[in-house]
Amino acid sequence: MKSNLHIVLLGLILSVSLVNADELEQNEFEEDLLDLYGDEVTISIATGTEQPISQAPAVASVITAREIAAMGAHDLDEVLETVPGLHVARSTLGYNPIYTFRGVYTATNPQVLMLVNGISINNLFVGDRSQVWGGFPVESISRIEVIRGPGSALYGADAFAGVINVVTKSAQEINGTEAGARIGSFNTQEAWFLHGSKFKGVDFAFMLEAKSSSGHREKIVSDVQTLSDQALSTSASLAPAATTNGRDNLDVRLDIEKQYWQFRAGLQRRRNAEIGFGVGSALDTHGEYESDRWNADLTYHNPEFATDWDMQAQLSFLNTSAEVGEDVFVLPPGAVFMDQVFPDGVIGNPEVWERHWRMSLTALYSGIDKHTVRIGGGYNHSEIYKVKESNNFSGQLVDISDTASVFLPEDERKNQFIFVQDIWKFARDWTLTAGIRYDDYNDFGDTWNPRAALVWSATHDTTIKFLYGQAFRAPSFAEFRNQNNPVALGNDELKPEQMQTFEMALDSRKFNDMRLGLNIFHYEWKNIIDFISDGSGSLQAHNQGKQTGYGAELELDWQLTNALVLHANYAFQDSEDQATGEDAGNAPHHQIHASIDWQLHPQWTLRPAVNFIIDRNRPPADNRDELDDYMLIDLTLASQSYSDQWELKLGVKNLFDVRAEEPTDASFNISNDLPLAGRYVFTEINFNSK
Amino acid sequence: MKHHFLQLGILSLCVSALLLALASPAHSQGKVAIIMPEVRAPYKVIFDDIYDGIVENLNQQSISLIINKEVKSSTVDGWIANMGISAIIALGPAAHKSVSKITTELPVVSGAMMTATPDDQDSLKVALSPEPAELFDQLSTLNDNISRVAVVYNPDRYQWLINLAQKKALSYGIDLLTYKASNVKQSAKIYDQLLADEKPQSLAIWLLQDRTIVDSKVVLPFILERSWQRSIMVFSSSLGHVKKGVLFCMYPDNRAHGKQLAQIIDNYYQLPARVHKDPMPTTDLLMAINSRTAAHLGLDLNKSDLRKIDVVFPLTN
Repeated sequence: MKSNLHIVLLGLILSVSLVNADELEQNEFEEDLLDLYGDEVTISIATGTEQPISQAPAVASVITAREIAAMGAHDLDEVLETVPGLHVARSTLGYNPIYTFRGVYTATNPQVLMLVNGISINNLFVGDRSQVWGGFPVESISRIEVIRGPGSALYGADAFAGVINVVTKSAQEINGTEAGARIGSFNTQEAWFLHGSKFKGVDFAFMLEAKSSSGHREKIVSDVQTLSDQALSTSASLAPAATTNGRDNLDVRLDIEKQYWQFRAGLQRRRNAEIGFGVGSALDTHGEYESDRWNADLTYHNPEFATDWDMQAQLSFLNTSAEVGEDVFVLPPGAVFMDQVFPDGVIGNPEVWERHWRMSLTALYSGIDKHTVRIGGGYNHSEIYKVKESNNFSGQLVDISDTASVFLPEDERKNQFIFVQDIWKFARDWTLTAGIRYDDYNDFGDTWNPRAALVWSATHDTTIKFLYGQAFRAPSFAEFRNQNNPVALGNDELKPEQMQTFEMALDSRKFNDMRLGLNIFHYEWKNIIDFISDGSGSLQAHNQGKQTGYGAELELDWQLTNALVLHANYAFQDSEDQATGEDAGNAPHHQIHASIDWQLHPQWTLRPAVNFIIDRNRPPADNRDELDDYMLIDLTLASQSYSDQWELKLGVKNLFDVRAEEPTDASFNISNDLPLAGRYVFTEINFNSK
Repeated sequence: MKHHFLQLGILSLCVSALLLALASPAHSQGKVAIIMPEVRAPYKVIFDDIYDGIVENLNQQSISLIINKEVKSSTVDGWIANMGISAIIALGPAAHKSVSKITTELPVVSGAMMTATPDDQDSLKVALSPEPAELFDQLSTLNDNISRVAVVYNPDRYQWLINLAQKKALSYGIDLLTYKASNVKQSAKIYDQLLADEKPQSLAIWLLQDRTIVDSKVVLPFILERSWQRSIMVFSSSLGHVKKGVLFCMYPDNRAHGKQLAQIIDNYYQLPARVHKDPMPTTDLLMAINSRTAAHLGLDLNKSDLRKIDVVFPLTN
């Protein structure tokens, strides 16, 4: 739009006149435009404002930037919590997310693959996204694709319980400037600036998001040190006191695209990241972590490389760190550790730096009648190239980096892989997708992972899918190579964890203005890696566990009236630990999420949302009382200017200030669980030049 | 009272701005006025794209004006007289209406018309309705066995388009079967008969973008269900229909629609004298297809076919 300024000026000149044109006619015109395009989302797609999404035969949920904005979400995890079959539990360490798909819950959560623009950001160290996560802001996100169930046949390692792919906005999508600011409870300030434009045939996008927050502080009555105090008649515990959750975040992204070439780079910087409930569930009001996550990729994608050939080549780089900003107190001053009193507290400062180089080549061939074949391969080189540690276990704070006493040796992992997949339209209304991937690792050997999906368009409004998938989860470096830590020793004999899942999915639009989805699944998870006693009093990683589970997810999107849309889902899962025959624990058996988009007025929307977490057992050998259910209610009120350039938003999360808790680690046996944030009130202003 | 002072203040400021603008030499040449309605998001982007298409292709200077419900025709009239306007492009029915009320000898073209009907205004009108020949062309590409196309239409809104389509259908060897209806009740009966056709493999049904004939609650679901069962091809002038299961549609490339308007104004005096006042359809079109329906109809669209299509539904599987 080139002449916005004078248009606005002239509009202003004439707006002083008093006579009305026909408003009804204008409404009718808008209805005609709606008839032409179908709905507002389709207008955005048809006009290039939103990108259409590729089809996937897996059970997938896609949440677009428009939906993220409508739900008033500020962080990726708030969006993911709305996905059926996925519950975001929390770790005591910095409230790191535990993405719990269909009952698969572990403390470090390496069973989930997170991709940003299709590239893994999983870490080598413990297999999660980062020990210093600090959240993921949503303003630069174009869409989030969530695949429930295995995806190793396409994505390789860790596409196990689920895959989360975050796709960032392109220059074309931003097409101008987006900016905004938000203030909220817990002394939270956020601001963002996005710009996208075309210059001499090159698309440029720049995205910057910054956040500073003191974080929510929830009271803890009893921690690990409380138990120690009771046993040893000391009084070192900081409890009762509040968790710490402050942090300063900076996220910067660059995206340059010209024809077949795309270069993207980014930095996610975390500073002053407080500890949450402490590294070992002993409160620490002093410690702070830091992290820098640098990423870059160069991608060549030519959909018409040759007749019937679509070709993509990609080279990517990720450098990530988990560093200590302020000394981290494993136990508070006055604690007794290894039969010694530590008047200054027990300090442990482990730090890890890792980098990943990945290259891949993927070709799509559509020259065979009724077939689309995808073949590809690649090579990944990952290494933990720097490990540092200082601690005062000997009485004095000493740097033991580069000594035999350090907790983890520096090392590398090499992985090469090939895959093939065919989409075969073998009969009218029937499609069979079958694929297999071979991965070879230098440290734990090789693995084959197949998948198959049969898709049947049963009627004009109903699709039925049958799916089978197998996946593997690579042992993390902590599980493989940890040393000098008697409660978490590595084991280089480990094999990958394995998962196989059967699913059936039904999608129906039988009833007008309503979409209904139903999935039923069964999974078997084996070779589960756990730290168990090696007979000498130490705990070492072993493949020993097995878990099975089944469940269902029901989704409903219903346009009740022109101004009222209901989104609701219900998920059920039942998972069993095969060793004990008991419930696997920690994950909710039932989860309900519902929200209503209510268009109060063309410029005003209200969105009430409810999230209900129901029936969480303790895992076997955890004899504490069961966790309470909780229900959180959020409200978001948004007002757009007529042209949609400006938006003002007011919202409240956890409206009734409910005390909601996620489980703490069973091995510590503390009475406290991990309290989630109380009521959070915010206001924000958005500008969009489009 | 305060409000009036404010208005007066703004008015005097703007009058000064206008006088300054009039005094500048650039305006003595005459400019093309682009008059467009104030529309809310997400519709605004449609007009933004059309506007960009005009400005990028116009070989004359332009000046734009956004009108809203507060603006009366006499004000637009005065603005046109004072700004040294040489031609007018009006976008959408509100702008068309405000221009049609003023008496002007200037060349006028109205674009982004939805259900443009012939009227007494001596202006050229370009509707967002797709050129029927483009639809027939695409239809023949997808399935050359189709020899009959049936269309139900409201003559008050689309007689002009059907007249045009009749002529174009001949050159594609298509027998265009036309049925008049003025409401959903009438159209439902006709569709019921059409979808029971004895030779479904040679028949295609063309849906117009007109909710008085094809509503989303009753008629469209009926057409979708019956046509799926009998494997009858259905195509449309509405993107929304394809999203719900109609095979394909052609819809306007908004930027190209702007270019079409710019070219009409640039060549206004070279255009052949107009013999009738029917609107013109949009000729620069994009295409959307429903791949699920295509597969059901046995049309094998491979990846390279789909890449040439602008939007492929369903968006997620």
